[in-house]
Amino acid sequence: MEREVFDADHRQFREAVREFIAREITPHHERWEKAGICDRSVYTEAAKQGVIGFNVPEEFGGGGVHDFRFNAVVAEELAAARAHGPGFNLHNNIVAPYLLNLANDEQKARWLPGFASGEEVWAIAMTEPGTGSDLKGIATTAVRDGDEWVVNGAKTFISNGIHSDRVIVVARTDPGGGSRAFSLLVVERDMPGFTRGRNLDKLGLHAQDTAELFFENVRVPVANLLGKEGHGFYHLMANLPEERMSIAVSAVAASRSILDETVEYTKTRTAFGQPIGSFQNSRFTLAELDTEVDIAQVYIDRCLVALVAGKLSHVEAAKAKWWTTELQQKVVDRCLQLHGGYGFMMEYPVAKAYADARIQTIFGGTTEIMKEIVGRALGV
Amino acid sequence: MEFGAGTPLEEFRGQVRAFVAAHAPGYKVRSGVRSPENAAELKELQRWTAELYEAGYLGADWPAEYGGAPDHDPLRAFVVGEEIARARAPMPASGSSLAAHALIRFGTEEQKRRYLPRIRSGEDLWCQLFSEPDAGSDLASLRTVAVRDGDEWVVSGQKVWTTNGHWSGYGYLLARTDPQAPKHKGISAFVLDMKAPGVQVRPLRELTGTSDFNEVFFDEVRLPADAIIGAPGQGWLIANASLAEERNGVGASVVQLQLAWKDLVEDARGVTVDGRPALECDDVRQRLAALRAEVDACELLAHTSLARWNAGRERAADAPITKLYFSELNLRIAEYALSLLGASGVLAEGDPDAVADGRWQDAYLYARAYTIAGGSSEIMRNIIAERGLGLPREPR
Repeated sequence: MEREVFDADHRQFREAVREFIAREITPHHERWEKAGICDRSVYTEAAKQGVIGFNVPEEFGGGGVHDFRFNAVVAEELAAARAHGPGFNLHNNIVAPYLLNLANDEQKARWLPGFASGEEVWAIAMTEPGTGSDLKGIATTAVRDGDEWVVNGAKTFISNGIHSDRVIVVARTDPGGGSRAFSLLVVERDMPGFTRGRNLDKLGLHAQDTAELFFENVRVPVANLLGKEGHGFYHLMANLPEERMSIAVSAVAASRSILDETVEYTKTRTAFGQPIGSFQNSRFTLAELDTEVDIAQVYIDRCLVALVAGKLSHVEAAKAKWWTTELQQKVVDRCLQLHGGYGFMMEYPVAKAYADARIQTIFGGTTEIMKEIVGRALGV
Repeated sequence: MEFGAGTPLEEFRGQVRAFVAAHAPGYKVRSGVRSPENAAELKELQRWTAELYEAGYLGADWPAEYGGAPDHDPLRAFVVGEEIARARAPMPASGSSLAAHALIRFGTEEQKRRYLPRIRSGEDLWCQLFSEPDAGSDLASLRTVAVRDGDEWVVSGQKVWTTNGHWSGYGYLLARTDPQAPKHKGISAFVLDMKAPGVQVRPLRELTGTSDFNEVFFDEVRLPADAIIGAPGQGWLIANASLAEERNGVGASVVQLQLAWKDLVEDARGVTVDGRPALECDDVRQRLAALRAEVDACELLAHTSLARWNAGRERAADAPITKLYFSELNLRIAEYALSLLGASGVLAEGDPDAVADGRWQDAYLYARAYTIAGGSSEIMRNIIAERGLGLPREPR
């Protein structure tokens, strides 16, 4: 089904992104998976090609484009190529909005050039050991001492955790609690007391560095407070539609990609003297999946239009997030089965897609949390 | 319902349980049917195998002259499988007992004398050389050939999904000996010395990250004339007959599900969902209870079909129904476990914070082997439809 959400600029950009991934990512990805981390140089290369940093104003070295459809193109192409190593979505879709919306002029001048050029890798640290999706349980503290905040605590499951030069840390600045207890502080690589734990051993996404971070009496200058003191929770909430749409868009693109590949596989693989795709059972399975991925695509494109217009609510984003990621689980599950034994071999893309898809229903808010959000919005 | 409860089998079960506790290897056993991961584990598996045969817990159905017990109760083998599974101990190589059954029923006296004692002693592991790259579900279309040349057979071709291939002394091989015959009739069974010139074993790397299966290549491997099991063209019959003897795994599978469910509840105790203990969440409780109902249903299904098998009244669809239901339920349990563990569900074995040292992650990934290996779910449904329900054969 033809997609109506993109215009010629987006289509041209897509070609460039696709070419970039084929040239700079795909040939290295296997090596990165073994290493558990991608090469840092891919960030600067991506910035040169405008694959990251395009949404930063031109005066800071970016592309000055404010249109989430470009973000969606990058997310889709990365997903279609199963290129999960570089944290470009994190940069473009999650960190950038925080910096663009919350940083003051001094901070923008200090941070955005390195961010836009890809020379500085960023991360955002919310989750803590034991808190999971429940942000109210955050125990990392920041205590004001003169011109500094003294940060103590630990974070985990931090994407870009090893590569990151600057980390937006969600910390409790008011021990009194309540929704005004949190603030965002930017912790930098060389600050004494900031250390990294191990690169976590994960079920999938092996090329992406996901780490623990530790803060022991880290003195963060007040100039590194991002946004307003005590407004951390609201700042997090404000960016949820982009974050969740980033995941949802990737989920649909990943589903389409693995489905297309499976269709090809079932045309060439034969059993009992005929292509396995020609068995009615396979054909019906593929037909169902193809239909559902089309439905998802139309739905997500409609959500994209709303997001670009600034009209996508966080409840609508929660619906999109859980439904598309659950669909992705179903698609990879069925596609793996259609591959038979080869689906169980690491050298087949569907095996990796299966392992990599698992996180999708968990991070950025689990399916259960998304359903809570939607359910509460219904007044039940 | 505990299978055989209230009968002398329970006394036997107690003996087996004590034996397993005292003798089972201590190494970590992963989900599913797996190969030893190093030489030390192999050695332990061999010792364990020998002790199980020596104690009469394996091979009771063998002829007495090879160590079997003439008055053996076939149900005891299930109890043994259940107790090994319950202790999370490794199962002896299934290829070995499959080959043993083929040799006992179709082999010559000379073959039995030569191979059976070394299976009992654990010295030789056997692998099953059946599946090929283009003959998995459609096994009868296998293309590995054995061509008669004077006093020898010359084998060329390739096998795949060979569990324990890299540890095996011998392979139980199916090869095509008559390309002109209809596909089921042109196959013969052989004993293949895995160390013979021209045999190459290449471990695969699987979704789980481990190497339990292998590819095995044959480049003009010369087998002596007496390597054939049974008569030329009998391979399909022999393979099916030996597979039919292999029902011991059914009880073990049910025990695995029961353990998985218990683990799930245990591991859920430490999990919080949206700030609340998981076990206090309605949705979690509903799901755990529903899964428990399914585990019990699978147990009854397995035991009912075992009872029919034991009475000689097994129905064609019994084994496929049980395999289908077990493997799909096993997958659902693992899927739910990972959802329930939330963010920590992505931490795999080796990470110090992984729940239960990554057992669920391994189980989740291995669950896909169960829905595919040994006849995929699709093949099981076909068999149920065609042989069980008498529906017309799938149009081709």
